[in-house]
Amino acid sequence: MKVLIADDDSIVRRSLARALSRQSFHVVEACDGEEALKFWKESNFNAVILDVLMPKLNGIEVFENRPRSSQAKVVFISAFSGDEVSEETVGQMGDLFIKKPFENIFNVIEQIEKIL
Amino acid sequence: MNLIAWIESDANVVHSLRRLFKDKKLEIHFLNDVDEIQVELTRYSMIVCDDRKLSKNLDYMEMIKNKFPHIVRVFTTARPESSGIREMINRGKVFRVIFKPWIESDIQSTIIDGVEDFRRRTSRHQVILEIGKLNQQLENLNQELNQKILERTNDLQISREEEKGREKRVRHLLNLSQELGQAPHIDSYLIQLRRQLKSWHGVVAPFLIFSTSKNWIEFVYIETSGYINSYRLKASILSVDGIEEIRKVAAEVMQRPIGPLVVKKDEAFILAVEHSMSGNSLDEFNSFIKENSYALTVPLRKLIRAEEMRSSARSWEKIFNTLDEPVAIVGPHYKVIRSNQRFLDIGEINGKKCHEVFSDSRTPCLECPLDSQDGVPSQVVSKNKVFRVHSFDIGGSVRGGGRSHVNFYQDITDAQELYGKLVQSEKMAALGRLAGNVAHELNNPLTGIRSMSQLLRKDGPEEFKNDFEEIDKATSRCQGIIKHLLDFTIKDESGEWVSVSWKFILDRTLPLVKAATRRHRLKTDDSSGESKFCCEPQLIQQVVFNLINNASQAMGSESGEIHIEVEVCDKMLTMRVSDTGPGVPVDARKSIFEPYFTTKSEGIGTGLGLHLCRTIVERFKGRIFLDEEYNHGASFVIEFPKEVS
Repeated sequence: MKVLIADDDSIVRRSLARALSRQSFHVVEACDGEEALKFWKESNFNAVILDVLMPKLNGIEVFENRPRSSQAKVVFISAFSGDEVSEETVGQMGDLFIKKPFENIFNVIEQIEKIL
Repeated sequence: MNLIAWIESDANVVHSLRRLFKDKKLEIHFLNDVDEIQVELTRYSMIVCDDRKLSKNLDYMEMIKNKFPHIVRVFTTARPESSGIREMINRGKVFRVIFKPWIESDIQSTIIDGVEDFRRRTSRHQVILEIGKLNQQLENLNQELNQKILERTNDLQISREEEKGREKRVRHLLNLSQELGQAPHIDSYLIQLRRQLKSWHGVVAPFLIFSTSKNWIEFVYIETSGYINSYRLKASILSVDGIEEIRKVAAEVMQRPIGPLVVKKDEAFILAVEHSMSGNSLDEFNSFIKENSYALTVPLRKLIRAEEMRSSARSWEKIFNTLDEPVAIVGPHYKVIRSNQRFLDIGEINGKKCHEVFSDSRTPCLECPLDSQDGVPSQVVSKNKVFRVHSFDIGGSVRGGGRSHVNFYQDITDAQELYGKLVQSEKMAALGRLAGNVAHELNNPLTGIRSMSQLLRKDGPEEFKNDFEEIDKATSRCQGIIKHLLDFTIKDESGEWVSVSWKFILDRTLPLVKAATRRHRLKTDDSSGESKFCCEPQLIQQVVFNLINNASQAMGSESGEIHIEVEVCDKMLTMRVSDTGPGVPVDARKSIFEPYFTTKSEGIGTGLGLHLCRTIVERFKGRIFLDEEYNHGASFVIEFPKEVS
């Protein structure tokens, strides 16, 4: 299984990557929206995890420009501060929406595994 | 159009003056010399002269003062130290001295003030002149009559009897004229008149209708008891023509049927005499009134004129007194000269200064508008009320030194309070947004740290597992605080009332005040269990936050204890915040919930904290008060009606 993680906050990205790796996922990391879109176009993923607020392209924009052929499940993560986009919009777009802060990383991984 | 003669020899000055007064509705004759004054002097309102031909001008001004005292005299000079000024003031009694070079706005206002002064004085002057004229007429009349008596006495052609009769009548007339002329006011005039008419059998009593203002007329009559009574009626009656109509009005006023009347009418009054005469005696009486018309009306006209003056003064005073805002006329050195009733409600004048009356202070108020020359209204705080003071310069005299002002005090406490609350809530909103942003920014790394520590706890070396658990716990606590902070600051826009327990409120507030209470012990006793009350939790959190902050500030750097007790008392749910600080001073207790009252030093307290607390608590049907029995410090109690489950 191949997963793309896009989050500009390295510690969030690293912790998700580590948690997924120990469940034997193959993880690719992107640190902004542009990089995420580039990786997404280059290879096939089973799942793509997108932070909503990212530099260059935000999570929504990456989602809207995703390769047509992509079969990947899309997971949005965000710590909404009330502006930009509403929780509902994002909830309807992806397959899963996870709100930050996480209480427990293992629960998060479980949720992701469930949709795959 | 007001006409001014202006003696000024400098052509440049004349040119600039012409420009300055172009649009001022004044006609100014600029002249080189007083000799050039051609126009009849009485047409001038004002004469301005310079100091070029000083002694000639002095003589001229003195002449004007003596012959035409109402013409306003102004002296312009470029030599402030010259003795001519003193002479001008002493001999010429000038209205103002203007020093060159002058400020254009000054000279404008001086000239316009002067013209206004002229207008006021001439109108007063005319009334006085008229009264004087009437007096003169009276005097002439008396002299004429005296002359007649002498003539009559000398007239040997007339028989002795006839002579006696006429002489009696004329003496009577003289007497009448003198008595009536001396009456100091209308009431005594009527009484005198009645006495004089007593010799006529069948005369009941005279009454009088006259007007003192556009809208009202006075009806004055003598009651059967002898007392004078007066009524106020709508003014249209003076235009009444027929005697019948006058009788109708009189009957209404005196509440009785009125007999036949003999009426003497004038544009300013109706003098009527009720009688029961007929035939010869009535004819005689009518001709008596006709003959003596002059003696009857001249003194009456004079009295009505005087009454008019008094009445207009009274009506101004009434307007002044019915104003709901304090108004005072303040002379030089802040002395209150006059004030309206509303001002007196604040304090007695008794020769005091305005700040002594108004703000109980021995020194002028900060930002006193009398001290500032710009005429901008300023704010004065008096007895926990905020006033905006508008001050209007009403001039002063040349010799008196200093100027007088009318001060108008506008109570803006409510507006100010509203503004304060607005600022406060704006501040809270800005702080909320800031806290929201900060919380958001912190949440990201905290999530990472927490996730990482959870992973490491599972996969890392055995010996670190406990340490990673500590990191997990600490970050969990951080997330909790951020959540409470967000709950506290993000305003629930729906403003919905929810029912909550005190525990709910305290759990979310106390973590936020840890820093403020670091030096003090915070003890909580809650025996209310799940009892609930209705409120908007963020607002009540704000109240608790304020009370704890106040307690902590009151104890200062001393270590003390803040004790929070929650209990159910009958149908009420009470929460008490007590501290071990110095307590609230006795004289401040009454005012602590008032807006702008603060015992904290400037910059620390706005004086709005407790006021805001009270506003919030009362909004949810609660009550907040200081427990005055508590004597270990200050103890504030909040009560809410308990929700019935």
